[in-house]
Amino acid sequence: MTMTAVDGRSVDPLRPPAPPTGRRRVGPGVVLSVGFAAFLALACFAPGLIAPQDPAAVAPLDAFSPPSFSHWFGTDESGRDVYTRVVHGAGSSLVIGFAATAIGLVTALLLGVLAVFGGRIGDAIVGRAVEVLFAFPALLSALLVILVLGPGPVAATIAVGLSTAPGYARIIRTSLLTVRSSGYVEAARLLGHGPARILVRTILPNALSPLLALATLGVGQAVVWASSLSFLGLGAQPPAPEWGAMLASARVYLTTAWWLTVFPGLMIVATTLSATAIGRALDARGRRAR
Amino acid sequence: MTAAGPLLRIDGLDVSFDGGRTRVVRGVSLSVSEGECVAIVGESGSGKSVTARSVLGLAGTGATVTADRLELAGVDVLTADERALRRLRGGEAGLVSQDALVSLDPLRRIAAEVGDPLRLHRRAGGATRSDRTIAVEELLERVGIPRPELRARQYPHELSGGLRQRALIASAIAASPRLLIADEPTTALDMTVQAGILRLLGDLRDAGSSLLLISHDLGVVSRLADRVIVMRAGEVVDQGTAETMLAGGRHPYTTALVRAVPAGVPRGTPLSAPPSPAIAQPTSDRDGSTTVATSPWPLIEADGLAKTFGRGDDATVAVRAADLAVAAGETLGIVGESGSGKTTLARLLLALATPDRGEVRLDGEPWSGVSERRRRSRRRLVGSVAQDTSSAFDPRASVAGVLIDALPSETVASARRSTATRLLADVALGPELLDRSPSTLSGGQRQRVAIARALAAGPRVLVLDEPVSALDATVAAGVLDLLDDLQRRRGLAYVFISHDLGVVRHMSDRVAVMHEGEIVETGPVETVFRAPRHPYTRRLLADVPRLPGQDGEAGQDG
Amino acid sequence: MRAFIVLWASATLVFFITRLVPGDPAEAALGGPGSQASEEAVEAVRRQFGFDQPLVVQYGIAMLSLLRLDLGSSYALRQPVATILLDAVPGTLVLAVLALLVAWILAIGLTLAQSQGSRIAARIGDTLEIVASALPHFWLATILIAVFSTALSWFPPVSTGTPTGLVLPVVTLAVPIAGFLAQVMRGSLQEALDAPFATSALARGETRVGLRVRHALRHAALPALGLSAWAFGYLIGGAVVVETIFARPGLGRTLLSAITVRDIPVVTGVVLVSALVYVILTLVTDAVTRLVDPRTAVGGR
Repeated sequence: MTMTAVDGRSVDPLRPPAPPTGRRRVGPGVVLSVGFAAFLALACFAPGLIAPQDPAAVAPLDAFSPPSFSHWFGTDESGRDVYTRVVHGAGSSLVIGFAATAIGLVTALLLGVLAVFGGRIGDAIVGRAVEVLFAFPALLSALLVILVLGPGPVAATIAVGLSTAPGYARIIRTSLLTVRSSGYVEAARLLGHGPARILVRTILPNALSPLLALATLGVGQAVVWASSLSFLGLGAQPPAPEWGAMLASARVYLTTAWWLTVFPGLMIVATTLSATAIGRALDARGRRAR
Repeated sequence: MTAAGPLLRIDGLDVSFDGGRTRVVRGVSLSVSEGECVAIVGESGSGKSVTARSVLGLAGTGATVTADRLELAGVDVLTADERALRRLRGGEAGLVSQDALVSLDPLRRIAAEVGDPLRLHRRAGGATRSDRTIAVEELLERVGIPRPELRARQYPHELSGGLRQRALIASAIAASPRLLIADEPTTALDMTVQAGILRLLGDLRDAGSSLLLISHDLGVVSRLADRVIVMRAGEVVDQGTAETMLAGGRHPYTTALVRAVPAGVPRGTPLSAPPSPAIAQPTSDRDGSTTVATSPWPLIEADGLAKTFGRGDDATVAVRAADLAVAAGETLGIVGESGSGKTTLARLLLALATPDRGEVRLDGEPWSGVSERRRRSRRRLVGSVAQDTSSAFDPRASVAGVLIDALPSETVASARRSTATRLLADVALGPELLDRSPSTLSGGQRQRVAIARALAAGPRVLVLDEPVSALDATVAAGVLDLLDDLQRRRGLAYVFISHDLGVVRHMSDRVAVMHEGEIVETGPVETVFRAPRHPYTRRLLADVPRLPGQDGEAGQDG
Repeated sequence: MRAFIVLWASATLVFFITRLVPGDPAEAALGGPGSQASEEAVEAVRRQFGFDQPLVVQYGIAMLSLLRLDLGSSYALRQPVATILLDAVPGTLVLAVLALLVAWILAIGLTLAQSQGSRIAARIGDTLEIVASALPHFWLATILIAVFSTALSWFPPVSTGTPTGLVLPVVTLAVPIAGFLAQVMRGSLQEALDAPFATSALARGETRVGLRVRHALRHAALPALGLSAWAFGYLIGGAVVVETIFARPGLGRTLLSAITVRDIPVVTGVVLVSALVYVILTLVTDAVTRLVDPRTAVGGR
């Protein structure tokens, strides 16, 4: 069995010195992020468990109290508890983030599939369209959608979703093209498999596997964009405990009540950060698997 | 040896990565004297490159290097500080790596890359920019680059592979180091270009340079080396003069390496020794006792095939008027250098591309001319094995998944897994690999799985495009033996494409030589190799590095 | 040519999007349904802006006037859009250009600082980049104001037109982009430092600093350079928020107020200007890329 002795060498001694990112175990950042994501999930589905107070309960006497043991994040101009409002706001902020990402991805998927399988004309049309859409900065195209639909949380969600679609479309198109020209798709053709079977069983599963990581990253960005719109008064409107709207109404009191700005903002940053960390970890794992 | 002792002296070198967990070099000792050429031969993973780089203190990030002695030009490399190391690098030892396209900075002009050592080592002519220009042109001229004043101003991607490699050598010898470390200096190059680079290295050695030559290729080594060191899995297993090593050395591994070189070994003689029991079949039995009866007409034939890519001024003719025919149990070898059109020819035969003119017929029926829909049911008759095994399999599938996907759809579901096991056995792989992902297998194992997949469909023709070019010699030998054996047992027709003349000669019954899209010569393999008629074939054969003792008939006719 | 097509397509897209806006455009021109304009006034406006013509004709007229650089006049401000834009563009351009510059400097600094040192430095830098790129403009701006204006009184909270008034807006815009650029740059710098040509350079006796300056940085800059046109668009988007917070006159604020009152000619104008800037920047970055990377110069795209 000389042959397998040489051939069956399972480890290539030259491989191991790969860049440290390649074999990094789950780092503390990812653990923290997953923990925060769990907290957010709880805040979405059972906000009463972690913040039992009523987010709309007004207490004029307690207005503008700084963070303390009774009010962890302080209170706002009407004496409402900021912590409670931040927790209860997670739901609407995240729903907007997820829905916007879903809208963006689905639109992008349609564009990508049309580009790759629509023949030369399909690709030309989608290619040009995406190129043109890139000339519109994301916030600008979101504002255009708002112009048509009028301000409001639903409009903001659609706006953010559509404005992120061109970026996703480009990634999906590249991914589809790479997989379509790969050796294993050619091998499937050579075995006499039909185009439909190859598309469904080979191309799509492989081309779309990076999307999970991409979507996770996208949710974080979408939360930021959506809260930006709320902040500008174009998304969720102030009495609602949505993070961006809370920040917008807090601006007036910045000099006197910093906690009104700091805590909702920290929630947005923490959400984006954990989405990024989890997304990158997923991406790294996907790359290693491939 | 000079009185001062050897130029390079290594005793008990150990290199490990991952804080000592992965040891890639263990206890290697060697020395190179002034004017001597020492070669390290080994397959991938043998630790030969890391050994060579350790000499310059460049073993890599995260490498732990220890040695009883590691001295270059009297300087202890292990204890030397950064400044002293920099004086050694380029000053006492220059490095030439494989593939100058990536080893020269693609964003810098040749002049900058070649001139840098002059500046860094304050050598004569390195002081000012204009002095450097003159010195660089002299250097380029010395390594045989025509029109140096033009080439100096160009970027690496504007030069051909051979010129690029020469420029890389020029940058390595710019500061006149006494030792030149050449790590696979000719591996990515075509045969004719490779011969020129080897001559250049020989000239440098004759001019007094010491050479440390690293190669996987015994043929390359045989031209230049005074002494040969054989490494395997991080250790030196054998060493001696070039002659004794090429004759087989003392260690069985050296013998296996020499034996694995197929050049000049008659058809049917196993290259891997001892033959693996799984394919232990009567050797050199070519009488066809086990061969399936041949059909009266060729299984696959091409008639006046032509394919051009692009149009107008950009048009490149990939294949022009190719005729061929291969019968059952027969192998047609196709040789040519890169860009000769051999891969396009393969794609035409596989009907992955449509010819502009001409026709391919499969088993006597039209193949290239019919619609893909009509072709699909007959695709199982033609299998394909390509060079690149890393992208050949669905990354989401296991070995079993890959093989089952390739089985004819009428295979009973319950029989599929056992059929996959049998297919693996056919290519001498064990059933324990069934649930592994192909990406976790070695290159040789992957190529065997690729062959098993091709067999799963029950083909009668296999188009093999550089099937062993990415594999180590001993691994390749096993795969070639396997292919030979399968053909004998199943009466397969092979179209065997390779740039490696030795491999083609060993595998083929007939051979076609391609040059710039044209089949310039075709005929029985021994006729073409012993008495080539076309000037291109002669040139090609003259440039093959040959082990001493192999037949040199090819060169005699000139 | 390509640039022209992008511009034309943008104009077309904006034209049709603005036609999707619900409500009678003529009424919108008079200040919306709330303005209670008389039927005759609406009719006059309808004729003046050509809203009574078929859509195709309107489109043709719009494109023709665009060719003459005539952007029409604002519904709300009763001024030619061109005048409004000319007033608004310089402020935003200064802001965006400075922010991009600062972002590049931050990114290069961060990248180099990490590539020199230890794993810990790389870890810290990595975290900094992610945090920076995750910071929403509006929050960063309010925090900066709270710290540097309210608490320390170093910089004014409202843009005054003085150079000190520019500091906080520029920093606000630059930090997230610097985070993005640094992530891209660090990846490609590491790739360049691991490339065979880096080994060749070191084997010639090149110093670690020389390896970065003469070889790796150029490779690292290439992908970031390609991102710059996109980054500039991102900055213009960010300008909407930043200009609002710092009360700076500029494109962003103009756009925001135009959106809220549905002042369509102004919206169209701003969008076209930003598309124009994007197109010009793409041409510039392409040209710079060709200068830095000889491979693209020969092979074309």
